[in-house]
Amino acid sequence: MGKLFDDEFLKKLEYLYLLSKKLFHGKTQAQSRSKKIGWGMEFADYRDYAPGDDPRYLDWNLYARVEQLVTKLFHEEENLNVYFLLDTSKSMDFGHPSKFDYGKKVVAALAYVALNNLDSIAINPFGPELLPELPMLRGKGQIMKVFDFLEKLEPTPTTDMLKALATFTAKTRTKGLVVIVSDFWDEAGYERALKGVYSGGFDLSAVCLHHEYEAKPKWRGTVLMADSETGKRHQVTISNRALRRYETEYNAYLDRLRNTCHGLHCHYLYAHTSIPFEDMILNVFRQGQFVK
Amino acid sequence: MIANGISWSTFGILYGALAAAVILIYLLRMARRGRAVSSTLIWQKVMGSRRSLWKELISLLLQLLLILLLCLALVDPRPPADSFQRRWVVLIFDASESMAAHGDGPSRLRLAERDAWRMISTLRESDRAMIVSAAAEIDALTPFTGNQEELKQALTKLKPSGTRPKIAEAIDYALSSFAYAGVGANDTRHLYVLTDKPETVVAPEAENVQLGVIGVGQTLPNLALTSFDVRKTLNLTEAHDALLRVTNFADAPVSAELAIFTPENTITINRVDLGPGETHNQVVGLPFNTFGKVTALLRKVQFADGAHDALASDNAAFAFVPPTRKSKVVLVTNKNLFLYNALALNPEIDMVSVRPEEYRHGLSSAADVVIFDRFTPPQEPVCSAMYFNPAPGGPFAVMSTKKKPAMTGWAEGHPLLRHVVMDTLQIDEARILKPAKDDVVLMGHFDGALMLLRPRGETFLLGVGFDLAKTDLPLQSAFPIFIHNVVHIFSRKPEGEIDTGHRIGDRVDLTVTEGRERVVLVDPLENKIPVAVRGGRALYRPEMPGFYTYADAGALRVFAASLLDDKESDLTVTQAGALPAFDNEDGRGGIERIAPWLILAALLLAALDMVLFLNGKLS
Repeated sequence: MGKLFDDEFLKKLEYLYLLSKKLFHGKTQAQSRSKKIGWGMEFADYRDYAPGDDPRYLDWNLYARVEQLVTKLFHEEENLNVYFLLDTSKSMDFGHPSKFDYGKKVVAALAYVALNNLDSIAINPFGPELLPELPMLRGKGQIMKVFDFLEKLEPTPTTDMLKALATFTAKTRTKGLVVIVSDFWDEAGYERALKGVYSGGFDLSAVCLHHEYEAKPKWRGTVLMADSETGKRHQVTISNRALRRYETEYNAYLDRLRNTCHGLHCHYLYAHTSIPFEDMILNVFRQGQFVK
Repeated sequence: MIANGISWSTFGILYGALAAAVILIYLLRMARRGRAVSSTLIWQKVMGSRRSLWKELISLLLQLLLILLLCLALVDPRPPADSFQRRWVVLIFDASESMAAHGDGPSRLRLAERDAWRMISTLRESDRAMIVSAAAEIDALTPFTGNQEELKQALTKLKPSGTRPKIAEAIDYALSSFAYAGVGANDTRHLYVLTDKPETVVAPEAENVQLGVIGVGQTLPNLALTSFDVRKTLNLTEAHDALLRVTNFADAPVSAELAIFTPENTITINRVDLGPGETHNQVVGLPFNTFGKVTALLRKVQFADGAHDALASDNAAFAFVPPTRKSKVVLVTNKNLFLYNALALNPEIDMVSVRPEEYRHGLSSAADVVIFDRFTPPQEPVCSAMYFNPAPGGPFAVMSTKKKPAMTGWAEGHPLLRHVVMDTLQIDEARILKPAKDDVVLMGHFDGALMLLRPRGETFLLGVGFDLAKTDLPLQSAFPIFIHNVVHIFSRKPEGEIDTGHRIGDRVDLTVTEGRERVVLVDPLENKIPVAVRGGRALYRPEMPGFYTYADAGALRVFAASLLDDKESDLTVTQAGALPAFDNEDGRGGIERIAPWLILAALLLAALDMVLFLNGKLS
């Protein structure tokens, strides 16, 4: 076991799992309802009979009343597939703890809870493109593979969220919940990438991780800033007025991200790395987006 | 411009070095390593697309300008002295005690101070003024300065002290100050004296100096103790008399209470009623053994017209009477009761009587006077001595012995014979004494002297050529007085040297033990004042009436100071006036010192730099 996922971390995961069960008491395991219409137990809709339909699903009572053959449709009951898309770009490797390590812990924790719920999980790291994934896993016993995979992940130089998420959408046939863990710093923008995932039929959940200094910079005076991804240098004179403007722009940036997420019926969560990750996970649970 | 601080060449080197350092720092700052951030997306929006190079350049230029201004301030550049006309003003303030007088408003000194400040405030920056206080001493409170705050501070330091202000000396001092102050050829010189007695100031002839004497205040009523003296009583006893004079300087009648007291006893209280300008003299006999602090005080002063007494410091006078010491007399006699009683009944004499055979030379070393009655020891005593009927072979040469000698005269005015009449003296037999050089014949005879006084250093020898048993002198009332005079004068300092008080402002020579470096004086307000001892003398000018104490050689010494000055107590002002205000519209002024403006500009520039930086306008 590496430094990132030690015994202490496992204890916290167990605690989080128990807490998640308490929060969502009454839900049955592996009964996540999919949007897929099929042959499950819960009635969904009617449609005209077509040759080849299973005659067991004809509504004979309706036929008796209106003399029309109608096939009953049910929600197909299947396990929830959860895809964790972790931003591995250089911008995530910032701060102590770095956003990258923090994101790994978040993914590991959510994966642990999901595996305990008999959901299927996959981890798709992305940087300038979609990186080799951890294929779909199911069952609590697979958690060590998750840890191993996350431990071995290294930051990549840049981000191209549009390209990576488009690749993910194209190659992933089984729909499910996509949890994107990123700082959403992408010069090309994140809107089109998120819309692409949404359009691909996935449920979206966005976790925006920032260091507290990104929200409130502590520097003063003239600073030659180097962008960790692009390497571009910008000489910035940080005055009180500049800080006020920074704060305004920063909040506007987050507002746009939140509005974009809401427009896509996407759960959105913003957190500082200074917040203990377990508190952050609890916030995820409270939003009810993960265990249904 | 003339460099008054560092030279222009030093300025060039200094500015060059500082400018090079600033530019070096600027370049190093430009070349420093960047700080990695996760993203500059927001910062790019904040800073926009504007390149901050011009901000850097402007910041650099501002800093170069800032150090240029500061370096120029160090040069302290000034225009040549002949480029404008300066005024040189000396204000001499009469700081004598009468300037403390006040009616219903502020004192005369404060009125003068206000008037002076009004005039000083009209001076230009290039003008120079000096404040001089003239009391018992002349004190230049400022040098020639253009700093109005310094002048204002000096004005507040003015305080009345002493009497008989040395105005004439202060004027001389001011005129010589003009000569040494570097007054330019185009400059003007002004000398003003502010006094409540302008009529006493004699304006000297001085070229190129505008001299003005300004009367301060108005005539005020005053009742004053103008004399207070304590002296020995005229009968040469150790008792003292206090002599007082009270003067009404007001135009209205006045009544007051005059009290004389010591810390332990009130000696007398009596009422004094005086008409306008009247004087009251009073002699008060102080009880025997009254010594120490004696105070005379005028109180409950009421003028008939309802005015109040304008000067308080002359309502009290102080004297310190030194404690008396009994004269130690050794009487060598064979039961002469006349002599014995005359000495024993005098309370001021501590007498030891011995028989001639008991007399030892050592007795004289502890005595003030030895009186030998019909006995002449082989050795002269150490102290003063009086011989009745001295035998040949003693200090006095005996010429002959005469029956019923005729007295040719006696020294009527001599202190030893004060209050004594010798005209009717009967002598049955006497030895005629031969006067030596420097001897004083107190009682003469055709052949010599019947009574001789011989000075001997600080002591005296008195020879009386007859036996008391062979004269009627002991039966005369003059006898005990004569004996008292002899003992008193032989054992005491002369009366005129008794030091009971001083006038404030006069120099007091403090008694100090040899080797001391300073004396700590406690004034009437209990302030401790160190007085340096120079050349074995500690000199001090008391500034307020009252008692001053100091310790010396384990003893507590006291002296008294009082105002007691007719001229100071007379608060008549003959000509009141005001200082002129200067006209600054003549175009002769100018800014003399540029350095303060340079520093101000540098500060403003620094503030501007800071404001621009905080607002993001500059890097």
